[in-house]
Amino acid sequence: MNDQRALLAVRYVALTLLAILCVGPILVMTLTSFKTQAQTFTTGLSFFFAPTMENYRDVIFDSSFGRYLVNSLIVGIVATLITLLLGCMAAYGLARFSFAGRKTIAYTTLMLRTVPLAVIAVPVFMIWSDWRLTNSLLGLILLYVAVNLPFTIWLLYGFVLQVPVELEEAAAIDGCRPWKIFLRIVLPLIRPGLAAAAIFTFRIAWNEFILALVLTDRSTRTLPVAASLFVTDIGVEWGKLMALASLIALPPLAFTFLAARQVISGLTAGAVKG
Amino acid sequence: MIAGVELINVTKRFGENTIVDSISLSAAAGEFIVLVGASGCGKSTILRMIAGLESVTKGQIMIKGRDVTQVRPDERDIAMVFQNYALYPHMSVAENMSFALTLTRTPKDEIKRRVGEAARILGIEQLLERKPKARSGGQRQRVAMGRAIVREPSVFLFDEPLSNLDAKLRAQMRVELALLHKRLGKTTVYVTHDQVEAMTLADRIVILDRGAIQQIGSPAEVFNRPRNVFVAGFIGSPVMNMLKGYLVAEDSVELPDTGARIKLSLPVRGATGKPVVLGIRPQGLILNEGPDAVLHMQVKVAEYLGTETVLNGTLANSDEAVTSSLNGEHGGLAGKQIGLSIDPAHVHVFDAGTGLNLIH
Ligand SMILES: Nc1ncnc2c1ncn2[C@@H]1O[C@H](COP(=O)(O)OP(=O)(O)O)[C@@H](O)[C@H]1O
Ligand SMILES: [Mg+2]
Repeated sequence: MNDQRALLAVRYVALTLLAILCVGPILVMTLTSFKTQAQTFTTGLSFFFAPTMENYRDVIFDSSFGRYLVNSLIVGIVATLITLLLGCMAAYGLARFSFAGRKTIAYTTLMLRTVPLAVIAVPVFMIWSDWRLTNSLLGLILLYVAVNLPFTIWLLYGFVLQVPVELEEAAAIDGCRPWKIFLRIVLPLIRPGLAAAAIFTFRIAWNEFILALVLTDRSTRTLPVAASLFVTDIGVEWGKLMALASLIALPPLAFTFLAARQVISGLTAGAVKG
Repeated sequence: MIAGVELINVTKRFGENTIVDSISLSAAAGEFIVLVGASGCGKSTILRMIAGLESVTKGQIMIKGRDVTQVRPDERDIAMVFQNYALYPHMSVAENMSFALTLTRTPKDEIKRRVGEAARILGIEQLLERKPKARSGGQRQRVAMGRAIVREPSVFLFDEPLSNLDAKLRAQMRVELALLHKRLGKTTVYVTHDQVEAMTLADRIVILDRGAIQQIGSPAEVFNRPRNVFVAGFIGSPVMNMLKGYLVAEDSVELPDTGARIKLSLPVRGATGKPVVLGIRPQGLILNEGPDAVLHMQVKVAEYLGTETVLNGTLANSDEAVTSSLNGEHGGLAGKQIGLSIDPAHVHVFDAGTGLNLIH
């Protein structure tokens, strides 16, 4: 009994430490965003300071903020939609049609995901330059689709495999042609998978920095790249940087919250068991 | 008269494996045909070819006189009930049942009428707005049948629809299925490995083994006049006794081990000395403690089942297994040696080589 209690205590301590580790930086970011440049260094981690909205005001009313926000939204949303569209069709093909190399493809797609983005930055820049895709949102979108597609296919492949083939056969007898089977039967049943894939894809497309920095210019910049502009030769504007960073964190948070409900409701309902 | 479903020399190969070997079969309109056979013998494959879910390697499938071999499943005028029900989990019971009709743009009030009618027949009206997944096995079975009924097809196809239900519910659904067929009068092809379902539901039974038809006939025909050893062993419970012997006259078989001579009710084809398999239904082995007993049996286990007792054991002085089914309670016979006489009506003689029934 005592042993169990001790174990429980250890677990709670470990979890608390982990939670602090996760929440700590976010807390510092948020606190700093409400401080003036001077306060940043004088108040340290203290909660006791006169908060200012100055940073947010400066960031939001900057002439370029709107454009960068729209850029980020376009890149994030379009990349996610295209990834899901291609991903669910590829996953369905892998799961349902037999062709040479199917198994190999199904199991190796995920390996592409292990390549760090920084590694591909230079070749991507060269190829994108050749194809005149640099400094355009399309270039970024294509890149994020390519980066996210393997994981999405792999994830959705698992979901499609769980849909009993008999459901599709029943639908065929009921009068569905293959496309309709896909749209009316398969897609609704893999919705939790689509939601999970959307969370991952959107987050990466929204937050990605290195390649966005390389591939964009003044007019096609996304928000993370814009944030880096507060790191200048003459110093770092901590307050503004943190204010923008806090703002950047909000949409993925809201999106994850909404999409996660789809995932959970789907999973708890035992989605595909007829 | 035009057949409800007709298979003409239908063959199915998966790669090199011939799964269904040139079978021909004709179900009259309104007939209830049961395909029965051991697991893996190709029953589902045949049904799926009729449904259009599996291509036909060779041969023709006709539905109501129309060649549908190359026709898409939804245009074959059939409905199918799957073993695992295959209900759409993301649709309500009513949506499941009306899905096919909405796809063909049937008017709303017509859909409503048909779904309501089917739900009433099956007693699932209170479930219509629910999702199917939380329902019990019996209810989902009913929904699956409802989905088939609503389409008003000319042929119903069932693939082991009762095998996921417990024994009691299975017996109940079997009766409901029989009533439903009587009521709708539609041609039905029903697949099962359960001979009780086959015997109780079928107008005609098709017994399959390794992708070939062994016999087609009414339940009484396949029970009383099995065409070969396989059918005799498959139909009937407990399983028919098969004893090695040889003909000593055209109406008499001798068992080599025991020397017993068994008189047949009818003469058989075949020369004296011909090796045969003597098939005796367990019900045909009757307890006989008198001196005129034909066989002697060493009883090992006596299973009392209420109205009868099944004795399992071997022939005395032999290790050939025999089973006898006696009316009434005879649990006390376990471990004893008993005498048996034979009811000629339950005796069959099969060619030891070809397995064919030599009497009929
Ligand atoms: N798509 C397929 N590819 C290869 N072999 C198959 C396929 N479908 C069924 N089979 C084989 O065909 C045989 C008969 O299967 P099936 O018709 O399902 O038998 P049953 O329904 O009588 O149990 C089995 O040996 C099975 O392995
Ligand atoms: Mg089967």
